[in-house]
Amino acid sequence: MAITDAMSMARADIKLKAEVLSKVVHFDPDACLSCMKCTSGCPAFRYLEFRPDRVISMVKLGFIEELLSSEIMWQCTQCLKCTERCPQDVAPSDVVLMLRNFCLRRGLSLPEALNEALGNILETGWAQKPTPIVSRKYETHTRKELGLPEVKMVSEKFKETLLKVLESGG
Amino acid sequence: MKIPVYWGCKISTSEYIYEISLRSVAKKLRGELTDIEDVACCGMPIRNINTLAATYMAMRIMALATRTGVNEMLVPCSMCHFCLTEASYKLQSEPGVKEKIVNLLAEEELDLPQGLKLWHTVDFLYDRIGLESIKRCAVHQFKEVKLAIHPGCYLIRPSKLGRIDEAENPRKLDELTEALGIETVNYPQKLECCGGLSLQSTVALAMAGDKLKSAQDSGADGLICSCPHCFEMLDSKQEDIAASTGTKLEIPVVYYTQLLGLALGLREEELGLNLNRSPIDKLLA
Repeated sequence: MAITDAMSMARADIKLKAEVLSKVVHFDPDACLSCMKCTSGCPAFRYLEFRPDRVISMVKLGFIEELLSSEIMWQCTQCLKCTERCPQDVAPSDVVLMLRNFCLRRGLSLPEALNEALGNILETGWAQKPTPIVSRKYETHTRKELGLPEVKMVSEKFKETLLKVLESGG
Repeated sequence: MKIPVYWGCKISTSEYIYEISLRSVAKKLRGELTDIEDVACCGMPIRNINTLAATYMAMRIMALATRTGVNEMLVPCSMCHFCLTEASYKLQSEPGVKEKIVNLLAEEELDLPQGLKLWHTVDFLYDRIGLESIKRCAVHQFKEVKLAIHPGCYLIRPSKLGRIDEAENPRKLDELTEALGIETVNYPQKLECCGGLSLQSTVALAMAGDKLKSAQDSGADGLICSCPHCFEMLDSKQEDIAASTGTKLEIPVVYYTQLLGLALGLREEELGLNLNRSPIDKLLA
C-alpha cells in the first residue's frame, strides 16, 4: 500500500505522535519549513523515492500508525546527511530511527538482517559470527590462520542486562 | 605508547585486513594496542530496535576501557566510533538517560566512564601523531598515482556530535595520503554513502557502484577507505556490484592503514594486501 492511500483513510493520532516525539530530543516538528534540503541530498530518495520531508510532515500531522505500517522507514540508509544539512535542526534520520524503535514495541516485524544481528548479539555478544574471508586469488582465510587473536564470547551478565532493557521497552 | 583498542563486530568477524594492517602499523610506530576484555557489540544495530539498549552497550565498552587505567581508546571502525560518541552525547543531553545507564552498569559493578578520549584511526594519525611525524617515518616512494578518498558517513556526520572531520569538506584523509607523497583527486560523489547500511541489497550495490564509478571516471587510480563497513561494500563486493549493475569496475580499494604501512616499509603480507578483493595489484606493481 502506498503511503498516500494509507493517509487518505487515516485519522491523526496525536497521542502516538507525542510518544514518538518524546523519544527524539531537540526535535520540534513545527520547526520544519519543508525546504526539502533533506530530500534533495537523500540517497534513499535517489534510488527508492524515499522522502524524508514527507516522513517529517506525516509525523507532524500525527500519521504515525500509517508510517509504521508502510514500513517506509526501513528504506533510509542512515547516512545522516539530512540531519547534518537541516537548517532547522529537525534531524530526520533520528525521527526515522524512532519510528524503527516503535516496531518491536508494537509487535511489528523487523527486517531479517536486524533479527539476525539481534540473535547473534544475544548469543555471543557480537552482531556477526567470525567468518573466513576470500582473497582475490579465491583463497579462504580464517582469523586463526591469519594469526589474529580469538574473538571471545561476552559474559552472561551482559546478555541478561541487555535482554532486560530490551524487554522493558527502553 | 599504550592504548586500549575496541575493534567492534565488523573488524573482528570479517574485516581482518583492517585489523592486520592497523596492528602492524601500530607496532612499527612503537605503539602498543591492548585488547579490552569482555567487550561486545557497540550497539549500532540495536539502535534501530531500542536506543536505550544501544546507549547501554556503548557506555559499557567505555566503562571497560576505563578499567585499563588509560583514559583514551582507539576505535578504528567509524560506526562504532559514532555509536560511542552518540551515547556520551545522549547521557549529557537526554534527561533521565544518565541515571538509567548508571543503574545498568552497576549490575556488573562498572562505573560510569568519565573523560575517556575516543580516537578513530584517522584523527589519531592526523591529530595525535601528526602529519610531520608521518612524513618523517615514510621511507617508501610510491609510483605516480592519483588516489580518491572515501571519508564515509560516520567519519564526518553529524557534526553536532563532534566528528572526526568536517562534514562538507573533509580533508584529513586527503592530507594523510598527500603526506605519503601521493596526489589525491576529487570526485563528485566524495561525500556520498557507500550503501553499507541499506537493508535492500540491490540498492546497496547500486549506491556503491555509482560511488566507485564516480571515482574511476574522475581519473582516480585507487580509492582510500577507513571504515570496515564501507570497505566491505567498495572492495569485497566490487565484483558483485559490477555484475549486478553491469558497470565496468576495476578500481583498487585499500585501507589507509595499508597504504601507510607500505610507506613505512612494511611487507605486503604484514598489511593483508594479499587479501583485498579489488584489483590492487596494478596499484602495487
